Amino acid sequence: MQIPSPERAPEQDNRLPLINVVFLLLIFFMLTGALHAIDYFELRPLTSTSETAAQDNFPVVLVNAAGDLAIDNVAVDEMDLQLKILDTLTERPDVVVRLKADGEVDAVRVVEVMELLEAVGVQLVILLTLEPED
Amino acid sequence: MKFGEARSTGTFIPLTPLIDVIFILLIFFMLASSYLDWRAIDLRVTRSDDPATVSQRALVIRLKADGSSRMGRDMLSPESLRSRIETAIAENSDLRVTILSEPDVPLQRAVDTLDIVTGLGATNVSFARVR
Repeated sequence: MQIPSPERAPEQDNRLPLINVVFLLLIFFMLTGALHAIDYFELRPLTSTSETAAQDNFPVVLVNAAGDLAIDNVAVDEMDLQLKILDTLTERPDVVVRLKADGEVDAVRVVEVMELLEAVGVQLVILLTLEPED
Repeated sequence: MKFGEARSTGTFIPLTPLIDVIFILLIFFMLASSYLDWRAIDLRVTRSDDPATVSQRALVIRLKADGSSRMGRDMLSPESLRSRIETAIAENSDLRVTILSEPDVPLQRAVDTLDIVTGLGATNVSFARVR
């Protein structure tokens, strides 16, 4: 007795479920994630219990553990920082500066940076933090 | 005139390049996406050498480099800091609190202190540095 060999589906049909899953994953990551540039400095983010959502579309000043500065991912010294903020202020007088600092940086250094920003007319500085892990 | 029957031709679309592109896009979005939920703390700067801003009515918490905290001449534990702040806020709901950092105090410690103070209801909190 000869058993008929089962019909082999074309190889392409077997890949359709894979393509479907990969498509769904792609759509998930596109919709739920936010693309971001890698920070100029590697920072250990601050944690706090603040529940205020951070505003977007404002310049970000980075302060690393050594106290070095960067604005919008470009390293600057104190004078350049003030000049760049002055440029921004002429375009947007209500600009809010977001400060992303390393958790280990000297608090005095951060206050110095805030004073630099205040000296050129920044009204509000917001410190970016993450929710504590526990 | 008789035309021949139209034959249905199964169109073959090669899927392998499509899968390659989709995989590359998937890997890109997986690596480039960020799920960090950034929060914000509004900060005001108080110049500690300005008598108008650091008045005697403001409650000044001094963070020292050795890890201790002081309020006036009193050394504070986290518990005593809480009770002092609670008492002060009960007396004056519009209490101004200044967190005064000495050099070599990590910013995270100042933010932790800020969390304690704001968690107890203080709304007028500022950072300052010892000059």
